[in-house]
Amino acid sequence: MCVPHLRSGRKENRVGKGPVIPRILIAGVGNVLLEDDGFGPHAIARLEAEYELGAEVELVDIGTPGLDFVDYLVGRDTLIILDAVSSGGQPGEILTFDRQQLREFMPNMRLSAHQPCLQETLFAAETADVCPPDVLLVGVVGESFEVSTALGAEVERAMPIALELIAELLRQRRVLARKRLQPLPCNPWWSVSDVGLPA
Amino acid sequence: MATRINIDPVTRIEGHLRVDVEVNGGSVSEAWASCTMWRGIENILLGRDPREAWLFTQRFCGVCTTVHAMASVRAVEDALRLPIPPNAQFIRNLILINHALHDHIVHFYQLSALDWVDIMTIPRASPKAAASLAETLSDWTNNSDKELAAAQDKVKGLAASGQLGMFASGYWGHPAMHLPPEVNLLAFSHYLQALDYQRKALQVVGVLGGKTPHIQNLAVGGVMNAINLDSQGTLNMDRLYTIKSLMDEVIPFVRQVYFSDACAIAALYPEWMSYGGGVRNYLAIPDLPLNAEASAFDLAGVKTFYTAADTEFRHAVTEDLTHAWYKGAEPQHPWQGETQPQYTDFEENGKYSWVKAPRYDGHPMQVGPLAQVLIGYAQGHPLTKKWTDLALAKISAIGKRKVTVNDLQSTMGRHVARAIRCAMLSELAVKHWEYLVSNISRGDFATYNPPKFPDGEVEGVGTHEAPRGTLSHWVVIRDGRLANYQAVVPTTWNASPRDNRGQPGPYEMSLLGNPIADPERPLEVLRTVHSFDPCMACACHTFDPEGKKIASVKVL
Repeated sequence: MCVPHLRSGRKENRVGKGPVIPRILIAGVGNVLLEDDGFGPHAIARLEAEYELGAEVELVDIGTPGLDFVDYLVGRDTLIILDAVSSGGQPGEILTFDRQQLREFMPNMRLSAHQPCLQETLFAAETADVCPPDVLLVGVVGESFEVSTALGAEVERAMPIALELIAELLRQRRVLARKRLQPLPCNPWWSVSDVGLPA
Repeated sequence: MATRINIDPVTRIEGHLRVDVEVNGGSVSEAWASCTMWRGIENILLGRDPREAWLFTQRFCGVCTTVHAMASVRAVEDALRLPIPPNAQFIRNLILINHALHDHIVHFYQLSALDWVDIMTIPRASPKAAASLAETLSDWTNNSDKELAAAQDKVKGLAASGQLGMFASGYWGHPAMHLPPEVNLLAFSHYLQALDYQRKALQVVGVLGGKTPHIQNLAVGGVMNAINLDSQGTLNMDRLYTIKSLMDEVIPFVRQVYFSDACAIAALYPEWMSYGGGVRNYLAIPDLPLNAEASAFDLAGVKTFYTAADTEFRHAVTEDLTHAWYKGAEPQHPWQGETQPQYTDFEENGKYSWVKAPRYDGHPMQVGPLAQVLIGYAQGHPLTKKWTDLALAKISAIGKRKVTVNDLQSTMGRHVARAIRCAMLSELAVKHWEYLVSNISRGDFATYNPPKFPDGEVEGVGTHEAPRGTLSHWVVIRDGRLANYQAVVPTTWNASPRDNRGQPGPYEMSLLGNPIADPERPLEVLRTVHSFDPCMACACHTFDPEGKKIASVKVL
């Protein structure tokens, strides 16, 4: 099911009719400047380069969003969040959480003054009746969260396995997700040292 | 007998802000604010191309992304003395305005309203009485008893299902919560509507910036938006009218709902206009430049601080490291600033925070919407004066008690000032849209002036009056590469620890004298700290599956 809806940040803006929202969103969450915390955005760049995905799938490197994230959830059937996990396993271990599990881990806290975290965003989306019915989090346990744009060895080792798991989750939802025989170049902005703006 | 309360974290993510208070005789007698996470991200920029710095700086934080991107390009442009085309100013301004509209709405409803609004009283409210009350407060059309009954059903449904989510751990029934159930219902109904309107404001940022969070359209020298009124792939009339229609939906929400609610809640909590003032030196920077040289602005600030010719701001700012976990003895100017960690554990008489202590001519300064409103008001800035006087009149009328501009120097005053600023921005949104459209209509399509980097060393500062206050990025460029980069963010000013003279920062000062009804549930501390809209600006977003208890109490 595709829902026509005005939304920001579309790659192709079909002016007039409004863009059509792919029913599956894969969102890479995390800070690419903080080593293993960047697992989500790194995984998005790698998926884009290494996998051929159906048109029903949209990939987004969303960074560390607040309630901005809610806008991305409108009109989706499935949301797959890719994120680093800080505890609950050995570094490099891949953990998945469904919506119910995410709910149970809701932090035992007063309202934050700022930076609503993932669960809070999902809760807000649920309260506003725009949360996708199918929500999953695929996480990799990080080892180190120091300042660096590169992933650590353990998370790097887990990456191909995590990508294949994500592809399998898509195939279970009857969506094309096939490893490319010849991967595309993968050069996200944080890996290059010059932007190369026009002179 | 004194009681020590430790709240960690005050913000939800991973414990960035910790607050310790000592309570004596029912009120706060001492306070310490500590950032518990290292902000050394600036180091990643050293040696890089200054043209790409903004891509990195907007990842400092996932909530304030746009503001760090903007301050970064402005800092490099300042170092190069590079003007940018008027279209680029207006496009940037529209992004900044709409980002701020979103941010202020979210702060009030999603992040702080529930410090004041007791959700658990809502099931016993009368939607009819709430609708009649709403009619006396504003012209908003979505305040019908039907709308309010639907919001009430939502709360009842959440309560019945046991799925209270983040509402589960609120300080419900706290003695300091005393709004009537009907006001709570009205506010909660607006909480739900706010989720929708904040998205619309962000959609404007997305249309102009290509993506949000993390806009894609900036460049040192302007913006990368191509303007061609006849092309579908560029900024054309169709897109411009998309933006306009989104803003036309957001603006009435800001004025008839947010502004009105902030005034009503302030009127119903009059005691909170007498606590929480704290540091009374205010700093705000003019913003929303009106021309290529950025010599005239639409938002008031202390004027002499800004332009390259005026050296005051450039020389007045230092960062003190006495109580911060960094190496370095003397206060440092940001251009000479270093970010070398020296962690000691929390030592209240020694080092206790990862936040440096910025000082202006040696003084701690409070930044944020309150600073901007008070400075604009004192200068007679017409737009500031108009909305401030409207707010003061409304609060006085509802509360049946005269409220003056001085009462804004308080915990509640910070909320009111943010609503005043948001209403001002709602006017400026239309104004800057008109500037952009009329400039394009005159046939000016320029959006970019290419930068040229000289050999040798140049220094620059880029400022932005962000939703949380004065933000400045300080750059040193040597032979076209970044030789130093320091960001002095609003929360650094407000959450500053003590300095070499023992002067506390704004959070610490503002907590003194706050009443504490129940040390186990220190709602009052959260009210005051939240009123600053804290953002610890480093946003390590790792998912932590283990919930934590946040407040612990120790009898001394």
